[in-house]
Amino acid sequence: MKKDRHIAAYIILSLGALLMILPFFWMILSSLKTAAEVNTTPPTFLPEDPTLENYIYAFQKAPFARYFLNSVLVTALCVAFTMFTTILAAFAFSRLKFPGRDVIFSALLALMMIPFEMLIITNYQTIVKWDLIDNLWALVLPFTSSIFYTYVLRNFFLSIPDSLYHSARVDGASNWFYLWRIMVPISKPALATIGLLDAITCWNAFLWTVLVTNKAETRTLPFGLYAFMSSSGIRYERLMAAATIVVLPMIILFICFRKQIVTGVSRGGLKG
Amino acid sequence: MKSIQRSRDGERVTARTIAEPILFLLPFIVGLVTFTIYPFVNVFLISFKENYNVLNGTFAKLGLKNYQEVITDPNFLNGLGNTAKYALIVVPIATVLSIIISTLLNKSIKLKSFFQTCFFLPMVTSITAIGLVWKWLFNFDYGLINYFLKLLGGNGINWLNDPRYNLAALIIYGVWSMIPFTTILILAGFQNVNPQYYTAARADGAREGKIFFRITLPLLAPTIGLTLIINMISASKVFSELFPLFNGKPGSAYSLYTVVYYLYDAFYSKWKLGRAAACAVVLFLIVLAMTMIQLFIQRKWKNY
Amino acid sequence: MKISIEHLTKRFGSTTAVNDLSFEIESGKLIALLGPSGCGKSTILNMLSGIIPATEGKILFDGKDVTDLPPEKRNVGLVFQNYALYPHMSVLENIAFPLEIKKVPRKQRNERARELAELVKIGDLVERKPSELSGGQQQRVAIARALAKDPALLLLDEPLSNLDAKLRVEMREEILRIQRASQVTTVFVTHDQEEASSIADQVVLLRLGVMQQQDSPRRIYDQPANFFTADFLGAPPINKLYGKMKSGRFCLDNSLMECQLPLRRQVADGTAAILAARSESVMLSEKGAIQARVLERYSINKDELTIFDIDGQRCRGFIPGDVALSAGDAVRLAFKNRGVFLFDEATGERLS
Ligand SMILES: Nc1ncnc2c1ncn2[C@@H]1O[C@H](COP(=O)(O)OP(=O)(O)OP(=O)(O)O)[C@@H](O)[C@H]1O
Ligand SMILES: [Mg+2]
Repeated sequence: MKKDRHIAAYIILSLGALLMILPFFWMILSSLKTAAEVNTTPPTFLPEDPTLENYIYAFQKAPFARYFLNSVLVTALCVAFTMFTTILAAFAFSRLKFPGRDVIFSALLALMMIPFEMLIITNYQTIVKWDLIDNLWALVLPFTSSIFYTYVLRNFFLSIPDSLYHSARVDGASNWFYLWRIMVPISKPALATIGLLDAITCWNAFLWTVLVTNKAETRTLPFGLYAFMSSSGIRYERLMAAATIVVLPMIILFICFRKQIVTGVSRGGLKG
Repeated sequence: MKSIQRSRDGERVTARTIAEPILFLLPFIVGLVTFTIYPFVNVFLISFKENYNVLNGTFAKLGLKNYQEVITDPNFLNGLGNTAKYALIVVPIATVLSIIISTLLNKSIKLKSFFQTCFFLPMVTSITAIGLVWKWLFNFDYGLINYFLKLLGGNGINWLNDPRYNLAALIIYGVWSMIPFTTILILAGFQNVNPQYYTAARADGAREGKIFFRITLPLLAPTIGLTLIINMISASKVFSELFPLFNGKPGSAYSLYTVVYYLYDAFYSKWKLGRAAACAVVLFLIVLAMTMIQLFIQRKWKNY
Repeated sequence: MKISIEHLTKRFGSTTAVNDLSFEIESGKLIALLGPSGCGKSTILNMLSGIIPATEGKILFDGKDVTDLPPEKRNVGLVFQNYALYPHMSVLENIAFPLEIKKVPRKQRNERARELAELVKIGDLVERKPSELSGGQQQRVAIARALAKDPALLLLDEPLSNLDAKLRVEMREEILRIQRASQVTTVFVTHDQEEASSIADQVVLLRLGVMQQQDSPRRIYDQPANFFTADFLGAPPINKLYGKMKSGRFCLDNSLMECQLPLRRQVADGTAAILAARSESVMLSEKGAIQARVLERYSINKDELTIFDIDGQRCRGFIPGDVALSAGDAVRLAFKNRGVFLFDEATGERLS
């Protein structure tokens, strides 16, 4: 009887899982088909004559290699800057003593609910003023300070025993040395989670990218893909190849680091 | 003897103890002030500036005209209505489905990590890229969805080009993309449910269904309440999905505005900053209200 | 290095953790800070190391005022109760860490770390991570690390409290050996009186942040300054008989028993007093002044701990095992000269 229930569970889960990943499969399968095969009814499942033509086209006709490079660059810079500010701020809020520390921190937490969409108007003006339109820095600078990641990391730092700090201080370590030599290595799991979440967010960012980049040279993948769709017409086999280029790195990242990403997300959702 | 400054709790106060927190916080605070706090304050100011000129920053006078324009603009009202419909349909459906999925995933089944990967995958992917895939799935002639509909004996639906079905397409896509996050949160919520409750209930001879409705669901209630609100907030910012599905237009007949789309449109296409700012303030108020509800729920359920 | 503590006080808000404390530690000695939980031992240690600032008073190292020096300028080695080893570093890196901070070249510091590892007998474990060590081994690493920078003062905060009973005895001998070998002035915090007595040259006994007595372990046991000290030291706990003073003699309440001890001063009649007697000072005596009844006997090694009832008050005594006694027997008891004290019940002041 127990078995029966589980069989039902397997069936429902399998169907659900299939529906969830169907778009990904369809994307990859379509990207390997020829134009003629894509537009047939009934649709074929597996490509009859698999071809990489569409990928080659995407890399040739639209600068997807460039987009890819931009995305990697922006993501790497974003993550690096964010980690740097986050580590320092989390250390200050957990370890250093200064008047009003906890009050300031609570106030920052309240700022977390400001939707980014609300800030684009002024941020756009700032970027224009700094003459950073069509500059990759425009995609990095507004996202270097994250209250949420600071909050997560501060809590992790607080869980590291005081005695490690005191012991290091007695041995003559400065705050700076202690932070990078002891605190950061110990916090690797938390830092990995933060880095992964931030990388995913940066990689997929769209709205802001549309606003501050116009030229092809500064587009990142999601915007490049959108531009590709608008400019080269609706040729689904090609679009699916381009979409695969955008999505695949994140799929690989997710499959490799599922545990960290999932814990990061659930911690983020159920904070407080 | 030289006198030594001390703080209230007797710590030495030196140049270093003053400077250090400031230096450690500086990079973070600079970014935060420039790109969050200042724009946040500024958007309120702009929203009251009538006939605001972006280039030289001049404006006619301070007033409520922007708000007046926004709330009388049929496009904004359309956006508000669509956003509300979207949120009120997508969130409950996604939540119910996620409860079912997480309940099943929480059982001691094999292939758990495989299933998790399948269900969580959409979370990490670009809205634009996967939106494009959905556009393909929704395609009238060759899309997979219409193919299945026809297979089941129905007619194909012109999801993306018939304004009547635009919202439905957006909703289907929305549910699909909301499930992973919701499922993760509810699964995390399951960890607060002590398995002993189940053992006890089974020992009492309760049946599966009864256990689910009388034990699991009430114990999950705080988590579910929380996810509902978090998802409502994110649903009220629906925007990016429109780009791949409708080629950057708010629906095929400009009838599928959303609040954020309206903001984007007023700002970037029409260059009406005051109006965009007023819309941003409205969005903020919506989010604020929901955050208050969330805090209230969290506080109320703390005692569980 | 000679340590002098002068009128040291530490207040946390309204609680006074350490109150007007003054004592000295001779160079090269090992002293134990002893007292019940919460008496301020860790607070004193943290003030010595500079982790927390003193509210009032002075700390002198070899006559030099270090009260306001930050921890890194004091050259102290510190071993925490939980050892505070850095989990991501190997044993060798942990031991070499203080030298790394001093920018000693890698080769040199690793050499020194290896020497220290040998000293504390973990030479073959240096490549391991702390999580792969037993409690005793971790403790040795912590001591080696504290010694790495040749501290002038070694501070140990309850270093043995995480270990099992047998290991605790071994390790305290080990600490003594290392201390004798390195000749570093050492302060050892413990709440275990037996540990303090067995290891220290001097014991400083604290209660509620106030020093009760500083003496050698022998003297603090034989000559307790007050009732708290007498009561805190010794296992089994010292016997307490409650009574009153009557013309210079101690009398049990509602009883004929009397006892005379040489008094240090005149004591008013009717003063409530406590007669405290170590269990080993209780003996059977035909002519003894105290009438008692045997309640129970336990074997402890060759002696039998016997519990007597003296007019409703309990008293333990070590009675040789070959004396036949059984529960209910009426006996007469007397006290030896050593290990019997008289205290004022209200103030704890020693009267005899
Ligand atoms: N940071 C602090 N803030 C407030 N009170 C404190 C603080 N640190 C210690 N105290 C108080 O000071 C007193 C002495 O504490 P301390 O830690 O020195 O005791 P201890 O003798 O080391 O005890 P134990 O044997 O349990 O370690 C206690 O009453 C404690 O509550
Ligand atoms: Mg302590």
